[in-house]
Amino acid sequence: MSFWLSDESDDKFRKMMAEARRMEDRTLRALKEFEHTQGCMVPLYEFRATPDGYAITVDMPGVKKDEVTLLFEGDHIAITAPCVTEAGKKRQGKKVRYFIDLTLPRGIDEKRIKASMKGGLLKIDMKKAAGGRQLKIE
Amino acid sequence: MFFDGMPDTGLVGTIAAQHVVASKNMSLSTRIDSDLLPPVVVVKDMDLLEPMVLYRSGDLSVLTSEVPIPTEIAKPFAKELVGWISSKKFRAVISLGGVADPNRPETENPEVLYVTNAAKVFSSEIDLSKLKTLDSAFLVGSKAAFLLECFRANIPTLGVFAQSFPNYPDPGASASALSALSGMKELKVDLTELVKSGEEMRVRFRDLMRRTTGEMERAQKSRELESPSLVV
Repeated sequence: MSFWLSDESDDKFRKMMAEARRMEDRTLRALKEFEHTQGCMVPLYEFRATPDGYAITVDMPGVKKDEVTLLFEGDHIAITAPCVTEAGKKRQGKKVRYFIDLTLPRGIDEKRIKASMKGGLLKIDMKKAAGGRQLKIE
Repeated sequence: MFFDGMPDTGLVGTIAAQHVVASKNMSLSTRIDSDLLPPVVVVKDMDLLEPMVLYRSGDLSVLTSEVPIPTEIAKPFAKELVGWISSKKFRAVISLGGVADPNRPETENPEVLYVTNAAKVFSSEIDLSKLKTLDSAFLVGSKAAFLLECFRANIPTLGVFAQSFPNYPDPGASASALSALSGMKELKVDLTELVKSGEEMRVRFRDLMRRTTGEMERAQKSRELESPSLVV
């Protein structure tokens, strides 16, 4: 058995998808323009909640831990590292670097931020600042 | 044999497909064009290539793509493609992809899972007992639509999925998946170079990964992390 949406709802769906694609293209265009004007590559990253804070992973192939500069300031973390891969140099020139500036959620304990690096994947673990009070269930 | 390397989670199939094409020095055999696909061409050596092409060597045809399949055309495109595959009478279809694993950064050797409609056909070449079956899961996106059409058309089909980074190109997962398929003579390739050049690959494929991530979000790819409610 087949079921098809009506032409009208099908048309609405296509328009919605086209708008989503336009918005995505604007974002990607801004990102690529930033890369070209600044001579950098914005790495892919993921942001996840953990039970007591947040974890960010940043994909920076070819980078070793001693080459990464992490600057935490207020609600931002700026990550810079040289990109030494051939594919990177081919795209952005010889002195290409990775750069990303991420806005963080509020309430992070600055003293409990830890970073580690393995296989070009930077992992930053952040804990929420202590506080709040435990509630009793009556 | 038809090998599908359409962009999907971790670009596992796409990276594997390009490695197979390069390792076997395969030749461009078929250009795929459709009004359903976005108007994109690839400029290479003073030639204009369609973003989706097939490479061939002997009985093996490998599909590679420079663009993710737009979600709204995933189904009609899969029907068209499988119709063509049926008409060409390929002996089997292998579709290679990734299954998102949030714990991938801690995983050295990604697990490989499979779904097939022809275990007997494939078990003579691959030790399927070494792989996990994809028993109860959601598959979402162009690869899901493609597999469904292959099953409907009764083409012997093997869907292979390696645990992968959800949103980063994952050559390690591609290597694991290809290693699991190394019993098939058409897909037996040296994986040393793929593993060695993993970091270069991750840089090379990151733009396609960004586009593919957008497409996966539109297809509600997060459903693959959920479990079906079906109990019978």
